[in-house]
Amino acid sequence: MTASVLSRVPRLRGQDGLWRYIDPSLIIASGAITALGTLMIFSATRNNPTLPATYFVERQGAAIAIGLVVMGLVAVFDYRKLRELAPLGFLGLVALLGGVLVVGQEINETRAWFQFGSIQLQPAEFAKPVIIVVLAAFFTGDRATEGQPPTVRRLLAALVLVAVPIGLIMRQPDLGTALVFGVIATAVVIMAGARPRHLLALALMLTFATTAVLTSDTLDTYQRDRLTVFINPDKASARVSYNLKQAQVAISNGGIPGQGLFHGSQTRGRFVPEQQTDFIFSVVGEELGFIGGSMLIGLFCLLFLRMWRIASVARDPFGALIVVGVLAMLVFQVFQSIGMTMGIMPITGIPLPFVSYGGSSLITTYASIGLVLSVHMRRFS
Amino acid sequence: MNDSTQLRLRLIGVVIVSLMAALVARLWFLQSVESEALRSIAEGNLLKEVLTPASRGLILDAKGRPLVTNKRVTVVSIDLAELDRVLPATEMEDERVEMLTRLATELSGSGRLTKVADLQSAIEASGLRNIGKVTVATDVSPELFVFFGERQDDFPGVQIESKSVRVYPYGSVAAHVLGYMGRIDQKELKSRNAEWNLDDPTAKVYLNDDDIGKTGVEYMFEGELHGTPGRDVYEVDRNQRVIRRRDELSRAPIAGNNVRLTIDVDIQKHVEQELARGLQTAREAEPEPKKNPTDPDPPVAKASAGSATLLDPMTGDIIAMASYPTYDPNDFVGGISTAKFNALNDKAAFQPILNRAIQGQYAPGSTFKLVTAYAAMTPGPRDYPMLSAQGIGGYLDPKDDPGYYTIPDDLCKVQRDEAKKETGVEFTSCTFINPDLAKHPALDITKAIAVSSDAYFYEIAAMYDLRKDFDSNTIQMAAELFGFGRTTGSGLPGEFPGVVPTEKYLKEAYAKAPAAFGRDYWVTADTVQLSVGQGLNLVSPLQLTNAYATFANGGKVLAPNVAKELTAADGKVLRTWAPRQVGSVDISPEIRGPLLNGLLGAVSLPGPEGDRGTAYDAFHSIAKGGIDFALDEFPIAGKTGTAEVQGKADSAWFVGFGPVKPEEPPRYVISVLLEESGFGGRLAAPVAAFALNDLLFNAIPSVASSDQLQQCQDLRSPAAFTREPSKYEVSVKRTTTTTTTTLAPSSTVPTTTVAVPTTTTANTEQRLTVPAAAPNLPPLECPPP
Repeated sequence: MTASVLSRVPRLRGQDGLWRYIDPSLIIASGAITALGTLMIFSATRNNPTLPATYFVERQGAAIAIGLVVMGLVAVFDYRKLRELAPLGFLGLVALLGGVLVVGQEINETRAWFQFGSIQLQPAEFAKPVIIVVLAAFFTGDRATEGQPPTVRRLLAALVLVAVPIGLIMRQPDLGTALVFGVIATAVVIMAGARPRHLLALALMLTFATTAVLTSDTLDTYQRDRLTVFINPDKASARVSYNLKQAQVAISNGGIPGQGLFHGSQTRGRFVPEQQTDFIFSVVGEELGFIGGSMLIGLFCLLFLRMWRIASVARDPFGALIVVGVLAMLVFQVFQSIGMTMGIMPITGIPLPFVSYGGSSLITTYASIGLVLSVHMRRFS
Repeated sequence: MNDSTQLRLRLIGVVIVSLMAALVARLWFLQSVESEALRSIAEGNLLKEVLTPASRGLILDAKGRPLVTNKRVTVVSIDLAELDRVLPATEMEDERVEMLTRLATELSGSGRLTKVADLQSAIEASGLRNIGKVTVATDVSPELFVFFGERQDDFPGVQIESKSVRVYPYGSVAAHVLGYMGRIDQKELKSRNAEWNLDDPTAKVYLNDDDIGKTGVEYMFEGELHGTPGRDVYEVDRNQRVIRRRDELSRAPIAGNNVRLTIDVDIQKHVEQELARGLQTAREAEPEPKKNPTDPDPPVAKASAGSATLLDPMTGDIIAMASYPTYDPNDFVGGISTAKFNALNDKAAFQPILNRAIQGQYAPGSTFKLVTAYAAMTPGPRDYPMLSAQGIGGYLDPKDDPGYYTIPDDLCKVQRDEAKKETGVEFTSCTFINPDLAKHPALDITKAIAVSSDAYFYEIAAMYDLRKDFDSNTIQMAAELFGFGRTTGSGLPGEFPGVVPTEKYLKEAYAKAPAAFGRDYWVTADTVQLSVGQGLNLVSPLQLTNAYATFANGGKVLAPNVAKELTAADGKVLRTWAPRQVGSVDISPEIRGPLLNGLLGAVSLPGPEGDRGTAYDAFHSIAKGGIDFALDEFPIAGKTGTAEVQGKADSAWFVGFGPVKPEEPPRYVISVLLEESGFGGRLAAPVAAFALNDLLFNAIPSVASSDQLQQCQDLRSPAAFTREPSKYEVSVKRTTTTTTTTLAPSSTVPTTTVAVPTTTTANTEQRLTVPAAAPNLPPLECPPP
C-alpha cells in the first residue's frame, strides 16, 4: 500500500529507487507536530488586539510550504557531496553571522535578524544545520584516521570551529542559540569517538567557562537572571519570574484533560509573554492538558527514535554524525523549550521545533529533517 | 559502525529517553499535583472586578414619609493628578488660574454661581496636592456633561460624573436625629471593610469615594442603610484590556435597607417650632425683678439653645426630638465647606451640630426632686424609709418651709467635726436657704413637689448624709434605678451618660481635673445640692424624659426607640422594634399616689402667688404667657426645674406626662429645656403646654416636603415651567423655545390635582393639594404662598 503510493512519486534522474528508502514515519511525525503547532499558534494569536486573527497562521503556513520544499530538495541532494561544500558553508556562515551584527535588525535589544520587507530572517537558525555538516565533515574527512579517536589537536581545532559562530551569536546576543551550537558540538564530538579523558577535560573546561560567564560581567543582568531563576525563583527579578510563573500557571490550569482548544483562559488573556514563540508549550499545556502535552512529547519521541535508528544504520560515519547532530539539536531544543515553560530549565529564547511561530526556525528544522532523510535514503548506496 | 560507536549511540539514546521522561514527569506534576494551587492564580489573573455603588436605604418617618431620600446629581470634580500633570501649580500658575476661571464661568453660566476663589479654596482645603479628586460642584446642570465631555483638552483634570447623593426633603426638620453624611475616610474604610470577606459577593463593602453616615440615624444604621455594591466581572488580558463580561459572575447592586423611624415629621416640626418660639419668648422676656436693688445684675438670658423631647412612655418610642439651634443636612451633600463646618461647631454660636437632647448635659434642677422623693419614701438598703417615724417623719406629716433649712445642732457638730478632720477648715454652714427665700407652709411630700420646696428636700438629703442609720448614697442609688448616670440605650451615636455624683466619683474626677473640681472630699452640702438637682448632678434631656417615662408607665425602664421597622428595598420586613425594657423601678401604689399627686399639683394646684403649682400658670393663664389647657380632658402631671449655672442665666426645665387617667395609660411624656433662660415654670412649661395643646386639640398642620412645595409652586405658576433656556440648550433648541418662552402664564392648571373650593371663602387663593408623601396618608394641602 505504502509502496504503491510512493511509486507514483515522479522519479528524479539518477535517483532511481531512492524514494523507496525514504522514512515515512519521520515525515508523518514532523507533519503531525507541525499541524498541532499551527493550531496552537492560531489559538495563541487570534486574540491579538492589533493584528488580524489569522496573521500569524498565514505567515507560518507560508513558512511550512517553504520548509517542505526545502526538506524535499535537501533530501534529494546527496549528502556526501556536502563534504566538499563544508568549508564554503562555514565561510558563508561566518559571513552571515558577522553581517547580521552590522546590518541586522535589532528587536528587543537583540541584533539577530536580516530584514527583507516584511520578512525577517534569522541567520543563526540557518547556521545550525550548516555547523552540523561542517563538524561532521571535519571529523570524518581523513581516511587515514578512520576508526581512530580524534586527536587532541583535532578536538581543539573543532572547538575553535564552533567557538567562532558561538562568539558571533553571543554578540547579538542570543544565548539560547549559542547553547544549541554547544550541544551540537558536544554530541558530534562524542559520536566522533573522542576519548573519555578528552571528553572529561572538555566537560571541565565547559563547566569552568560557564561559571566564569555566569559570575563575570559577560552576561547582562537580565540574562543571568533568566538562567538562574529556575534555581532560585524568589531571588529573580519580577519580570523574569513573572514569565516563569505565568507559564506554569497556564500549564497547571490545563489539568489532565486541558481547558479545550481555544478555551484556555490564560492563553486567551495572553498572560504568558511570547506565547506563540518560545513559550508555546504553555498553550499546549493549558488547552490540551496532560493528554495533549504528553502526546506532543510522544510524537517528538517517535521522531527521535527514528532518527536514532537512522544514525545507527547510516552507511558512513559522516552521515551518522550528521544525524546525531540533528538529533542532538532537536532533543536539546525540545527539552529546553518545554522545560523552560515548566520551570525546570533556564529561560533562554529557544523555539520549540515545528511548533513555535517563526519561519527561520521552521525552515531550518525541515532542512535538518531533509538532511536526515538524505542520509537514510542512501543507507544502501 | 564499530562497537564503540554503537555504545556511544546507546548512551545518547539513554540521555534522550531520560530527558523526555523528565518532561512528562514535570508535566504530570504541574497538571495533576500542583494544579489546584496554581489554578487559583489563573482565576485571579483573568478576572477584573469593578464595584458599582448600591443605592442607600431610605429613612422614613413613623407614617412612612421619606425623611431622607437619594437623587442622582451631576458632580464636577478635578482630578488633581491630571491637573498637576498638565498645569503644574508652580510652573504654570497663570494658565491654571485661567483654566479655573473658565471653569467657574461655565459653572456659573449653567446656573450655579461659582467664583474662582471657591474652586481654589476647594482644592486647597482638600489638603491634597497632586493626588486624589476634589469635588468642586455638586448638582450642576446635566447639560454640562456634554459640554465638558467634548472639551477634555480645554479643561485638564476636570471630570464630570453622575453620583447618588442624599436629599433631605424636609430640610432641617429632625436634622439632629437623622444626622449627616460625609466622605468615608481611610480609617473608616479600613475598619468597615475589615468586617467583610471581600471575596463574598454579598459583602457590603465600601468604595473609596463612598459617603458614610457620620452622626445620627445615618451613622447608627450605617450597616443597614449601606447597600451591597454590585460587581461587574470582566475577563481581561494582561494589559487589563477587557475581553468580555462574565455575566454569570457579575451581580447587580442591592439597595440598602430602609429604616422607618418612630419620629412623626409633623409632630417633630411642630415641637421644633414651639421650642424655637419658647426660646424667642425667653429672650424677649423682662428679666425677673431684683429682690434687692443692691444685688448684682443677673446674667443676660441669651436663650439661644434648647431641647424638647417627646416620648411614648409605654413603648419608649421617640416621637419627636428637637435640638436648637439646628442646621440643614442638605449643606453636607457634596461636601461641606470648612467655614460652614466650623460655624456649625462654633461654641459662641451654640454649636448647631450638637444634638442637645442626647449630648447636652445639664443640672436637672428641681425636676430631680421626683427621684429624691422616691428615695425618701422607699426603704432602700434599710428597713425603713427616711420619710417615716424612724426617719424624719412620715411623708404625710405637714412641715413648714420657712425659706431655709438648718441642720439640728447635734448633727451639725458631727458635720463640722468631719469637715475639720478632712480639711482643717473650722466652719461649715449648717443652714441651706431656698434660692429666693420662698416660704411654704404645711408641706407634705405632695405639696412639697407641687410648689417645689427646696428646704423640704434639703432636710432629707442632710439626714442621709449625716445619720449613721441611713445609707448616704440612697438618693444616688435611686437615681441609677431611674436610668441616670448611664446612656439610655437609644443607640443614637454620641449619647452622653450624665453624672450621678458620689464621693467616689468626686475623688476620681478630682484626680483627673483638680482645677475643675477644687476638692476631693464630699461634704453634706454635696448631698443637699444633689437632692434638688444641682451641684455635680448632670443629665441629658433624653435621660430625664425617660426617667419620667419610667415613673409614668409604672416603673419600667425602657430603652428609647428611634426606629420602628427595618425593611429591605423590596418591602420585606427585616426587623421591628418592640419596647425594650432595660430595668425596673419598684413603685408601689402607696408611693406612686403621693408622688403623682405632687406632679399633678405642679400643673394644677391653685394658690396664692408663690404657693401654687409651679407650672400652674403655664397651663391656666394666657395672661402669664401660658394657655388655658383642657386638663379635665387630658390631665397632665409634671415638674418644673430651674437649674443654676455658674455665671449664666438659669436653665429652664419642664418635664411632664399625660393623660393621667385611671382607665387610660399615658400617651406622651415631654421634656423642654431652655438654656440660659430663667424659671422653668415661667418659660419651659408654656412650651410644653403649647406643644401638647396643638398636638392634642388642634390638628397640627402636615409638613410639606421640598418636592411637595415645588409641586405647589408649579401648580400656582405654570409659567415657571418655561424657564430661560440655558446657553447649552440654546444651541440645540433655540428655534422651538423662542416661541414658548413668550407664553403668558396660563391660568388653567390640571384639574385632577386642583381642588377648587365650591364655597367662596374670604381667602380668594385657590386651595391646592398635592399627593401625600406616603401612600397611607391623605393628599397634602398646599400651604398659602
